[in-house]
Amino acid sequence: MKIELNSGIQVGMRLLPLLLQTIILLAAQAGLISEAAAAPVKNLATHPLYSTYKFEKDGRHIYFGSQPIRAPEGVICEVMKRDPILRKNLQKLGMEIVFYPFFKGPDSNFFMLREQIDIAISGDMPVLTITSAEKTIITAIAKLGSTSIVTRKFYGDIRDLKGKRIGFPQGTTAELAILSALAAAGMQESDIRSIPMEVNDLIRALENKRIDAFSAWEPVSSEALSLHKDFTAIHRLLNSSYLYQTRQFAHKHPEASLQIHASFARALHWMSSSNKNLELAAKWSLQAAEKLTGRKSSLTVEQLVRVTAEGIALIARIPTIPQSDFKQDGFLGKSFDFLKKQGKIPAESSWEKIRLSMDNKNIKSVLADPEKYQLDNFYPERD
Amino acid sequence: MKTRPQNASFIKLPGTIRWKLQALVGFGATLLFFSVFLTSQFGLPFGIFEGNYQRLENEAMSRLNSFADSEKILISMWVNERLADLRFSSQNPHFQSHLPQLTATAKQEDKIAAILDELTEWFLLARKSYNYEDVELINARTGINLFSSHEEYQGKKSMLFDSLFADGRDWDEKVFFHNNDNSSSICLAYRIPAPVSKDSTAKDGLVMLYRIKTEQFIDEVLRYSDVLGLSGEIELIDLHQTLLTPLKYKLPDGTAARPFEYHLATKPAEFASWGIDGVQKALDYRGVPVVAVTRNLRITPDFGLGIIVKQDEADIFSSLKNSIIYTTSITVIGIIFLLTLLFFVTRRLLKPLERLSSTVKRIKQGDLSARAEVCGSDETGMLSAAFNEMAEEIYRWHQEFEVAVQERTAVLGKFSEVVEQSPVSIVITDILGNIEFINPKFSELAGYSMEEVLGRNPRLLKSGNTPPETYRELWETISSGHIWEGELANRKKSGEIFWEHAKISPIKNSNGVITGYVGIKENITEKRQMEAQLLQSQKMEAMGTLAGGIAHDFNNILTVISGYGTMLKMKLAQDTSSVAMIDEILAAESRAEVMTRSLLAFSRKEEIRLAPVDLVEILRGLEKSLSRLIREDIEFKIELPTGSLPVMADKGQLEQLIVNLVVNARDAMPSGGLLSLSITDRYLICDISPDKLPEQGRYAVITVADTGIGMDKQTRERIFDPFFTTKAVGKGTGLGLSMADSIVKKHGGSIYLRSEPGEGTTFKISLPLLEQPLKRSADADTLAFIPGSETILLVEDEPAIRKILTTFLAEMGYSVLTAENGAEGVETFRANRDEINLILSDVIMPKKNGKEMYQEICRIKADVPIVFMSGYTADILNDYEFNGRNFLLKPIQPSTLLEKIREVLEGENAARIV
Repeated sequence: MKIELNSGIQVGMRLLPLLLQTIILLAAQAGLISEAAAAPVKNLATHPLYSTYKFEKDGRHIYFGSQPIRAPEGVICEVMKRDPILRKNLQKLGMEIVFYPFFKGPDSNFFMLREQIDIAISGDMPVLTITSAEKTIITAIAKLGSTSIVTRKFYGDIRDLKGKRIGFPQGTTAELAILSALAAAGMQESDIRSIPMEVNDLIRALENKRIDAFSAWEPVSSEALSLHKDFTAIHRLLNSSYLYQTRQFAHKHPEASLQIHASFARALHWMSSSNKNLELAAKWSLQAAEKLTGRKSSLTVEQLVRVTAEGIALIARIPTIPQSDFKQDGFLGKSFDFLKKQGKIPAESSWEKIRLSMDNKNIKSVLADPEKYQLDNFYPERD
Repeated sequence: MKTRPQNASFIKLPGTIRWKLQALVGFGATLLFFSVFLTSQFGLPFGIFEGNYQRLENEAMSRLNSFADSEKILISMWVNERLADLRFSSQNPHFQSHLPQLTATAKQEDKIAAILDELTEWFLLARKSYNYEDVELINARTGINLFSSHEEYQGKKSMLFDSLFADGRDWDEKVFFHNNDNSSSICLAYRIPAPVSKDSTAKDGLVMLYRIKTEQFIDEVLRYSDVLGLSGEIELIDLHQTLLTPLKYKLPDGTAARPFEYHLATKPAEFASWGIDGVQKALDYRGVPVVAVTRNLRITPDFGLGIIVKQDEADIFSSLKNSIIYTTSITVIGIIFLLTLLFFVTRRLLKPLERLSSTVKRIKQGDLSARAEVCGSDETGMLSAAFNEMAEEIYRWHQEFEVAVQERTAVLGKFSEVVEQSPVSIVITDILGNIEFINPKFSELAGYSMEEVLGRNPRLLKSGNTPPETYRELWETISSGHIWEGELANRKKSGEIFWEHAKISPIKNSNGVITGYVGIKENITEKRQMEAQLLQSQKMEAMGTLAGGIAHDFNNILTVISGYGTMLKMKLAQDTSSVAMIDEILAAESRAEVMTRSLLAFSRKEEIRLAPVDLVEILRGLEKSLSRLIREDIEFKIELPTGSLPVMADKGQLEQLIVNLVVNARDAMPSGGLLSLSITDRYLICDISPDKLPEQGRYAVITVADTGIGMDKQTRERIFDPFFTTKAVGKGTGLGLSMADSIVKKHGGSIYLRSEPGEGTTFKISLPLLEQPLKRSADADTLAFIPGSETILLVEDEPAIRKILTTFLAEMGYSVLTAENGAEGVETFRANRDEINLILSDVIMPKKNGKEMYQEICRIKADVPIVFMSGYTADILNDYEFNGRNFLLKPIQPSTLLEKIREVLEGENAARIV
């Protein structure tokens, strides 16, 4: 009885955050939290959703930052959440992993800088931003896709948006896309009216003409284009996402880190091995996004499958960081230089520090021993 | 009348109406044409209207975007097809069945050769079908080329092995460019893992590779099309901006860019390699403005391409340029035509106006007789007629105006001359008192020029000698619109004070408003000096009258004293001590007599009475009195000769002369100095003064010299003028030296002056010396009293005189009849006409004076001897001829009286009445 009671308490304790999360998501659905989330919150620890997250630094819990409204990153995380091998191997280490959803990369970075989130997947700009602080290391690539500026067909070019309202999630790759578009057109950031918004509000804001354009990653841009024939993408920027972890976590729990990287590789292999697997993962991802945003996504499973497939097409089998990303004239290096020039990354940051913070060791180890890490012998748990 | 402001906000177009019309129409038409044209070309802001420029740009961007997208798809498909082909080939059952042997680590070269023989045909077929440069099968561990469509490479280490595994990153598909000296190729590789076994590792396996020439790749994927226009170009770069395709144009330095070597450093290349799918307007590698569309194509994580599709802006907008040229040309021609037409129309319409304008110009130049030609009865004809009427009226006005102007000019000229030549100074000020005009007399008097006083206040003339109340009253009067009249003490620019009689009146305009003030001022400085001097003279006159009266009475008293003293001395002749005391009394009486004479001389009431006098004695007698006149800071030095210098002179006036000169010398030394007085005896050939030539002879020269301030030439020339003085008003009469000159002349002498500013002044007076030495009058001690026995009628109103003279004459043996006044004297004479031998009469008496009495007595008995006596005779005896010998001046010395009586009685000098 005692044991059962303890187990009950433990289960209750585990379910409590989930319960709170559900309540908040319901409130968000009623439009309460969405507005609050849209407002810039300096201290995210008081965020209506994030304040419900519990971070127990007991050496047993590993906290993973995921982004359900992001493809394929969100899809990958949903598969990882269902990875029994990972759970089992972590249990062997006396540990367990907890996935906390975030609206965007800078939000999970906030908690990562506080060493509460241990490992996460985010887009290039948040990854560069946090890595410049030298507290994290980049360990694998999770996506090679694009970020788009979506507007009405009335506007044919970024120059037509001079003085117009453009919404985007601040500090993300979406902001990088806007800055790159402005730079390409010879314009300044001050030439447009920047409207910082949460990613889940962008489409509705453009529909309601509260904004004239938005910048977003997949699947948001694809969702918008599929919803409205009047919408068009006038600018695209290559966009990549990465798996990255705190240096402290990597140092303290190398084996756990290795197991998480194995799970990451397993998820990619599993997703890329068949369309059916992708469809299943996409369904999980849509459910997770719905939980987070509080509303049903207008994106279909097929659309999300297509976006996810495109995002992982080049990296699914071998998600090691591309060699060109180690070079300053590669994509990541150019993005770093550009963000530094725009003042989004501290001027004292150097590319060399970023380069030295990229480490393929874990993912290479996993790929080098597919048998051991069961890369092609993996079946995620069904709901 | 209000006038239009000079800077009225009217747009003033220069030139005639014709030119204005032409300019306005020309400018307006041009503006209209170009507005419409520019709108059509460049549209309107805020998306109201899209012009050709925007349309062309949008079309170009759309075209380039479509082209770039199709290129991206084409390249992507091309690569993916080959990669799929590789994957498909690797799945070939025959190949798969021999995979263990092919990937075996042990050397099984014979078996491999046999297997490859079977595969060779298939490889060669694949190569031929797609026109590949080479198809290779490479052992992933050893790098040995198991098969190559080029036999010479078989069995050798592949030259591409390093490129495949150099970066150490795992891969399953790989695409890369291989470049050597001869050619470049695009290589696509597929990794075939070795079958899983206990001996195999991840590195084991095969690599199947297609090598295709870059030129072929480019030929197959790059499709130049007419839609890119003449200048359109497609550029392919890798992720590091290395150029992969030849460029259409040469570089600015004239060389051709070499693919795989040239770094394309354009802005579109930078964005394309970064990963941007977008549009830019930028400069290309030639520096030419282009519209560029960029696409980024990632084929593998490490291999990607940048696609740049661009077209020159000039090419895009060439139709616009042509349109501008055509439209502008047509517009210019149209405007020229319009202006020409306008020129002729306006010329015809405006000709009458031009003629009218010409007439106006003639009138403006002074030809008031000019008239406009009246053509027709239209508006311009009516205008010309009306203008002619106006010109006629102006002509008439002009004539009248000319006459009026001439009259006014003449009057103004007179006024101007009056003001300019006015003997009084005129000053005109504004309402605040600031000087606007002064006439020459003002400048002459005050010493200020027009430029010096313009804009300044007349208070610059204030001397401080006019009371403030006067100025206050002045301003109150004139500011209330009235005329003020009064006298002001002002100061010249030189500092000299002068007096003005001023009349200051306000100047009012036609509305009665005061606009300024005019002051007319007369210099009354001399007048005021004259008045002061006249007042002084009147004072002197009154003083003289008073002094004469006093002297008269005083002489009577002295006569009594002298008489009784003399009688007492005669009686007490033996009493030495008494005689001494009586002498003291008589000496005192003598001094009093001198004082009386001085008093009379001061009052100038005494007639000149020339008598031989010793000049030395006179000066010696004056020495004490003069010393008292000199201040202590002045050293007084007198030099007199030991002998006598006899001259014919009036002692009193001579004394007055010397006193005047000494006082002047004293006043000329305000800070002290030396005053010297001397007499010398000179024989002069001519006078001491060059312009005066008296007779030759001996003269006594009196010199009065000081070391004072001296005189300038102007002062010297006027020094003997009556009432001229350099002393302050009230300090001097201005008569001193004038009288001195007069006195000297009456004495037959002359006066000479030598003076320079700062060098003192010297007066020299020359008086002719008598040839005969002076006959000394008898000393009182030795004086003989001559007795007589005749009868004398004594007429004297002063009882004391009458008594003493009666007593004295009786003592001397004379019979004395007395009368108290002239009337009584007449009666007494009438009653005793035969007994009376001589009449001794006072001059001034009640009832009848001495002169009237004697005239009446003479009518009773002619030639009766008479001796007049008086302390003051000038007023009464002027009309009579007297030589002075029948006149005794009081106080009378007894001896003198007796001597005079004897002279008259003995008939030597009988008086005559003319």
